[in-house]
Amino acid sequence: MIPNLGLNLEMLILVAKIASIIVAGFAVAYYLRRVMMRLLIRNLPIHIASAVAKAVMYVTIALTLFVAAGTAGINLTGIAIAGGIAGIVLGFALQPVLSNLFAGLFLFSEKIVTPGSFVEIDNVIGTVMEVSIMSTKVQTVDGVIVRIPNSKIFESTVKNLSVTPIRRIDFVVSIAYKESAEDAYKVIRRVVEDHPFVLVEPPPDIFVHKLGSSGVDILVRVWVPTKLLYEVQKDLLWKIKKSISDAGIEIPFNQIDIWFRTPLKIEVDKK
Amino acid sequence: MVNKMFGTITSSISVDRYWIDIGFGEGVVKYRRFDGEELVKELNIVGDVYLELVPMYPVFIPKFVTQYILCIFSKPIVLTPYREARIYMYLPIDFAIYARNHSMFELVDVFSLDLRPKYALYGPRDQGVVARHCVTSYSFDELEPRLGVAVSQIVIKNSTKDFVTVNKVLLDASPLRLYYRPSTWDVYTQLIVMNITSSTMATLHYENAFKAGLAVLSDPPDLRPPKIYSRTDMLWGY
Repeated sequence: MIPNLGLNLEMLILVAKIASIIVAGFAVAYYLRRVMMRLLIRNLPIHIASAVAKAVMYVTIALTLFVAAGTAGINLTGIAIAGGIAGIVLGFALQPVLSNLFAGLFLFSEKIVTPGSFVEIDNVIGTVMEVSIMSTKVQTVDGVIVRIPNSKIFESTVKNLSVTPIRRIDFVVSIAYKESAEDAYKVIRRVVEDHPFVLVEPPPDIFVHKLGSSGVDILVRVWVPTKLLYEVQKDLLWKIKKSISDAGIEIPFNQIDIWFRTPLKIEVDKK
Repeated sequence: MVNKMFGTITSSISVDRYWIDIGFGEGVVKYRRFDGEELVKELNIVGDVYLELVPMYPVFIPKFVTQYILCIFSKPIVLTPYREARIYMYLPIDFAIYARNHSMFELVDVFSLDLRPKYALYGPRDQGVVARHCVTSYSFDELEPRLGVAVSQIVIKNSTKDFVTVNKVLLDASPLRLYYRPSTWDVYTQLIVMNITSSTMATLHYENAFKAGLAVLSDPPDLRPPKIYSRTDMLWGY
């Protein structure tokens, strides 16, 4: 009975060691999950933070089981080699998925695009509907839903068109050379000042911008509340055009003077 | 009969150039507002309601864009270190019609005497706030209420050791309250204390009414005042 007891004691110690590794590993995994959740919730949406925290927990549990199996004397060399090869294969296969995943985490943490913001990404202009871990949904101004992979957003120039409280609108108003630029300036100035949503501060800027080939170009720069940009853009250009026309100021069309090297023979039909 | 005051509307009324025509039918109130000869607003209200003419914060015309009002003083005020000044300022107001059913009410119309409302940015271009812009006159003596403006009492305190020049005050329509004397056109705000704490910053404390016997405006849902403490900051100059 005694030798058997000794053998059992050794085994008991081993079992206790394995059990303590598993218990400690699980405790650490659970603790890591809680810590990760607390850290990530500050920058990520709750479902993403929860998923990442759980993934960390499962990886820790897997490592714990791996160490426990090694302690139990199970040869893990084959598993490690197979796991390594599988990891490389999976790494290559999941490269686009992983790049989108990490780009998504970056987008969440940096808050580059957030739902509701009006953005331009890679020539797509619209309102961000949803930012998920893999892709971002944007509703374009003509109502189409576009899904953009997060890795593409990460690599593109992103213009956030709604983050600032005000935006600037520029118009070029061309008048004929025979017209008085000062009169045109006064007419444009009145329209701009009468418009409620053209801001007093920063002040509007109106000046002769270019002496063009067909007319004098007057540049009108006004600042408007961002959420009313489209509305003001439509309204203001219409009002400027109407006021210029009502004041009898000619808006020129493109003109080209052609000179002929040799005189032209012109026949006049007397009928 | 023409009623010309704030409070419950029992018949047609005129407010400056506007004419408000009310018709009471079988459970229906017919509301029409004319700007001169032109009909500009018409609606029917079905149910047991009465209409009320009240003063309104000047942030709804032409449309609700912001709850801030930037008042530029017609003349700047220079304050020596640790001094305070008590001024009375005219704050432009609009007019609103409430349809009331006991404690419930609905804002059915807003109109303004100001023909050219304008907006301005307060603060830097990337972080500032858009505010309704108005140039206001003020006095060190109490001002008489007038149609279309509220009298506001502002105590400006210079808490710095330097001279300060005050050009403007940014009001928030949410903690700001409007008080009116029923059956008159008299409108007041509460006492506002503007405490200048540095060369660029000031805090505004919205206190209680400085006149007695006034009715307080029931604020529309967008502009309900905070329940705990009424204070706003001017971070980018004054």
